[in-house]
Order: sequence, then structure tokens, then C-alpha cells
Amino acid sequence: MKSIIEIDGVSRTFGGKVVAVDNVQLHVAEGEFVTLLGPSGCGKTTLLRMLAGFEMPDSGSVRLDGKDVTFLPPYRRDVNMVFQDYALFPHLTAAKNVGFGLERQKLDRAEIGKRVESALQLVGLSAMADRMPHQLSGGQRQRVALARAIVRRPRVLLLDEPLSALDANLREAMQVELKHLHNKLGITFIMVTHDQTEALVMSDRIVVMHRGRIAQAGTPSDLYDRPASTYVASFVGTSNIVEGTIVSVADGIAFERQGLRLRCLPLPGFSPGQRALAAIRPERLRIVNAGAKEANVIACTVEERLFHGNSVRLRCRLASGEVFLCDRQLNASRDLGALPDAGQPVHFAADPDSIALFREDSR
Amino acid sequence: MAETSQNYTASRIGDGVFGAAIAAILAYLYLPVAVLIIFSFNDSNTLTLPLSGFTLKWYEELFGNSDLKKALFNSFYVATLATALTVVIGVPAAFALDRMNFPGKTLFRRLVLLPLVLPGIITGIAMLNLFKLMGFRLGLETVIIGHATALLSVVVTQVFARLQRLNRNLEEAAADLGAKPWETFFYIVLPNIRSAIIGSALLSFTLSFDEIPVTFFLTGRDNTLPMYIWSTMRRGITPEINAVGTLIVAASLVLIALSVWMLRSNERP
Ligand SMILES: Nc1ncnc2c1ncn2[C@@H]1O[C@H](COP(=O)(O)OP(=O)(O)OP(=O)(O)O)[C@@H](O)[C@H]1O
Ligand SMILES: [Mg+2]
Repeated sequence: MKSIIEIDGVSRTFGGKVVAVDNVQLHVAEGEFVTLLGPSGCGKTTLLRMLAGFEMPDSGSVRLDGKDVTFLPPYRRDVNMVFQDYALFPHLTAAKNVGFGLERQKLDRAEIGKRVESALQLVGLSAMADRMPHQLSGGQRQRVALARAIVRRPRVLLLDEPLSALDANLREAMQVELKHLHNKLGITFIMVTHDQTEALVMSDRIVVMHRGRIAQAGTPSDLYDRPASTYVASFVGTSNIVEGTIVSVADGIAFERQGLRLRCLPLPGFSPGQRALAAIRPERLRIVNAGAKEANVIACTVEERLFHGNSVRLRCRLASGEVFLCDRQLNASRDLGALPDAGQPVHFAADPDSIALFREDSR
Repeated sequence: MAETSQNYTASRIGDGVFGAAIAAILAYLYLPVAVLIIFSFNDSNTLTLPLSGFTLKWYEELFGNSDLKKALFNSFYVATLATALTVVIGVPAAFALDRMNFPGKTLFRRLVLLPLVLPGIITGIAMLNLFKLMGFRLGLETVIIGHATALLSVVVTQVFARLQRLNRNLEEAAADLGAKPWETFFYIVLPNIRSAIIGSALLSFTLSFDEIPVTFFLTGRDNTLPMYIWSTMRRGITPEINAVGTLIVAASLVLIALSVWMLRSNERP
């Protein structure tokens, strides 16, 4: 598929020292739903603003549909943005807000009216056309902002944390709606979020950012199952990270730390004596009996049992002192009694294929 | 803030006393104006009680007094042009303060605000010196320049404060939707600061209309209304002056109603 957006070697520094975006390379295919994910201050918004034209890169280039737009002002770019605070024009009605971009295109009145109407209908707000922004609820404002951005039929829709101001229920509903809208419109969506669940649910591809750089880009399952670093492993989903030393690389890799020996799948690039990090997802652990003849038995003490509705998280501690998490789905009989209680010892088994090994410098 | 202290007082001394206090404050503010209006219709040459009957003759005399009419016209002329000048200079200055970063910006802001706190006499004398130095002929035009200088800060502070509160994302959103910078200004920024501009312009107008100290130094032979009234005071307050005062009160009420209406229609869909 052809690339609609080509970001090549883009960097942006503020005030000569804050490197907000650092040599980013990213191509986005037409119609893709891409999420920029990362902690606060990692440069997501800055990267998005360079696509919109509000910010110019210090170096590198941005191409849109093959055309270099690096230094083109926002009003000459075929992209539209949904702002985090929606930025609705307070002096205009919902319909006028939506129609603003069409009026700038000098379309005739009838055409504008028709397109505004259908955009409002698409977001389920036909009845609110004549309301002022301050007469709308947060969720309704969000929809107006969305309608305003898509009514111009841009090639790319940019969304900066579009759902962050909504409460949890509305947010989940809007996630689904946005996804449907993406399918229906077929245009490219680039969304910023720092909510990993949101990113996993919505995206075709997630770009995890770390200090202005791309830590890893891939499909949600790529990132979840094959994280490139412990940073990604702990940012996308939850991971137990254990530090240790490689003791042997014959017949799979053996990893050891004080009181714990793990057998992992063979992996190139490791040699005995090397320091390494092992990451294990909490839901990949099985609870076994104390004397079980299994590989990779991990002994801990349960500190807390946290009820999550459909699952239970055991917050445990290794003998060496680190926190170790285990998630258990509750079965149909919802038998909490089978799980160890706080203060009790517990043994987990981790299958070799559930352990991801990283070199220490990958952190 | 106002509401809590109001509640506090109300609960302390009770609604009756509170009501009386309100009445006293209103009386203090408006009794003089009421006296002015009543005596403008009183059929007597002197300001003494009891009232001696209703008449419109002071208004007739007023319209026959060409000096007074000229002064009234001059005041309108000066206030209108001085206001226009403060808006034309003040709005861009407020934008410069809000948008641009330049060395000495804080100093610039302080300097713009200074004429407002400077006594009118100082502004008047200073400008008189300058105009003499530059060989200007004194007249209504020099008064206009003087007023605009003294009142510039009114417009700058009001518009600047509004700009500071304006969400900058609105302008980015407009640009994102294809608005060129001038379109963003006229369709997005201006409607949102309109009430601040109108409000400060009206205030400028009123302040200029009854300004005396600066006018005193900068006007040549021409009289503005307050100067005229002041000069006739040597002969005591005539009922005619009361009639002018009443007309000005009426005009002010119309202006206020107009501004309230304009600001309202700004908020309606
Ligand atoms: N206009 C600016 N001037 C100076 N520094 C800036 C500016 N904009 C962003 N920065 C800095 O650049 C870095 C990246 O900012 P950015 O807004 O892109 O982060 P973000 O990933 O969107 O974070 P968040 O999740 O908190 O929104 C931060 O350190 C920020 O302080
Ligand atoms: Mg951000």
C-alpha cells in the first residue's frame, strides 16, 4: 500500500536544549489507524503538530501524499485535527463550527448546509445543530469537534488525546465509535494517547515513543507479544521485569538470579556471563504445587489479592524482595477460594516461551 | 467573592438593615443626578426649594444658545475622534503585547499604562510644551491627540486582558480548517474580543467627553462642553446647565443600553 505520510529524520528542539522529537522516521499507509503512544513529555503532541503545520521541524522532512509539506502553513495542508480541549469556536453554533472549514473553501451555501447536516448526523448530533458550545456536554462537544474535522474530507485526521476529557464509560463507547468512523470514512487516522489500552483496542499500528524517539512501531499484538525492549514490555501491558545473568546458551538460554533459574527459548546475541533482563507477563504465569517437576518454578509470597471483576491480580514478593504480579482469570464458578490468600506462599511456573529476554542496555 | 461577603453581611445584620444600606448607597450615588434632572424642569431661576412648577423653557433656551450648542458639538467631535484614535492605536498595541516577544516588553507595557495614572495636568503641560516646540497650532485637533494619549491605556489594558484569556488553540483550529491569517482574525479573534473593544471605546468616549485638565492646556479658542460649563459657573449654576446635564444623562443611558444590547447579541446564537 502506498504511504500517505512520510516523516523522514524529523527533529525538533525547543529553546536550544529540550529535544522534543529526535530523528523520527515514520511512514504511514493510506487508510491506516496509527497511534502515537508514550508517557507525558515524550514528544507525541509535537510530532502531531508538525504534521498539522503548527510546528516546523529543525531538520528532516514531512511529505503528505508524496508532496513535501515540511514548511507549508496549516491552512494549506489537507489534514485536519481534533484538539485535546476541542477548541470549539465559542461564539458560533455547533453547525457554524462544523461549517467553518467549508466556508473557507468557498463552497456554496446549499452544499455547505448539506455537508454540515450529514457530518452532524454521522456523529449523532443533528438535534444540537443550533446549540452554542457552552450549551453542550463534554461528549457532545467532542462530537462537534470530530464533525468539524471530518467535514472537509481530509486525507489524514489527526487526533490529540481526543478522549482524555471524557469519563470512563463514554470513553469506551467513543473508542468503538471512532473505530467505526475510521472504517466508514476510510481515511488515515493518527491519534495521540498515553492510554495503552486505548492504543491496543483502536490501532492498526502503535508507535511507542520514548524521549522523542520511536522505541518500537508495530501492530498491537507485535508490541504485546514481541516487545523490543523492557521499556515497551512494561509500557504496553504489564510485565514483571527480573534482572540477572546469562549462565549458559547451550540448549536454550539459562538465566539466573539469586534463588531463581529460568530456562528461556534460544535467542541469538547472548553469551554466558552477560547481564540481562527477563520480562514475564502476569497472565502467562500458572500456579503450581510447591514440589512440581516443571521448568521455571518461581517461589513468592502473596502480599495482596486485588479483585478486578473478571480476574484477580496477586501482588507477590520474590524472596529477593522485588514485586511480582500474577493475573488469574476467574472461571465460571468464580472460585476465589482456590487462589492463595495474602501472606501465603505461592509457586508459579513460567513456560520458556512466555519469557522475553533483553540485553541490559535495552532499557 | 462579592457574593460571599454580601451573604456574610446579610446574615450578620439582617435583611432590613442591609436593605437600608443599599438604599443609602443608591441615594448617595444618584441623589445629585436626581436633583439635577428635577431642577432642569423647575420653573425658577434659582436652585431653591420648594419647586415652583414644571417648565421646558430651559431646554428652549439651551437650543437658542449657540455657544453652548457649539461646545456640545465640539465635545462630540473630540470624543469621537479621540476614541477612534485610541482604538486604532490601542488594539494593535494590545496585540503586540500579547503576541510578540521583544526586549523591553514589560517596560513597554508599563509605559503604555503610565498616562492613565499620570495627573491630567502633567499630561496637559507636557503635551502643550511638545506642541509648542513642534509649532502646532492649538485647537480641537491637539485636544484629540492629548485625549487619545491619556486614554490609550484604557483600550490597551481591556483588550490585552481579553486576549490573554482567549484560547490560542482557537486560532490554530481556524488555521487547521483552512482559514488564512486575516480570516482567522476577522472570523475568530475579532468576535471574541469585540465586547472588550466596544466596552473600552465607550469608556474612552465618556472619559474624553468630560475631560477638563488636558483640554484646558491644549485647546485654543474652542470650548468643549465641560469647559463651557465651567466658564459659565462664574455666574452660578443656571437651570440651563441642568438641562444640558439632563440631556447628557439621557444620552449616557442610551449609550449604556446600546453597549449592553451589543454585548448580549454577541452571546446569542
Ligand atoms: N512550545 C514549547 N516550548 C518549549 N518546550 C516545549 C514546547 N512544546 C513542547 N515542549 C517540550 O517538549 C517536550 C515534548 O512535549 P510534547 O507536548 O510533545 O509531549 P507529549 O508527549 O505530547 O506529552 P503529554 O502526554 O504530556 O501531552 C516536553 O518536554 C515539553 O516540555
Ligand atoms: Mg500532548
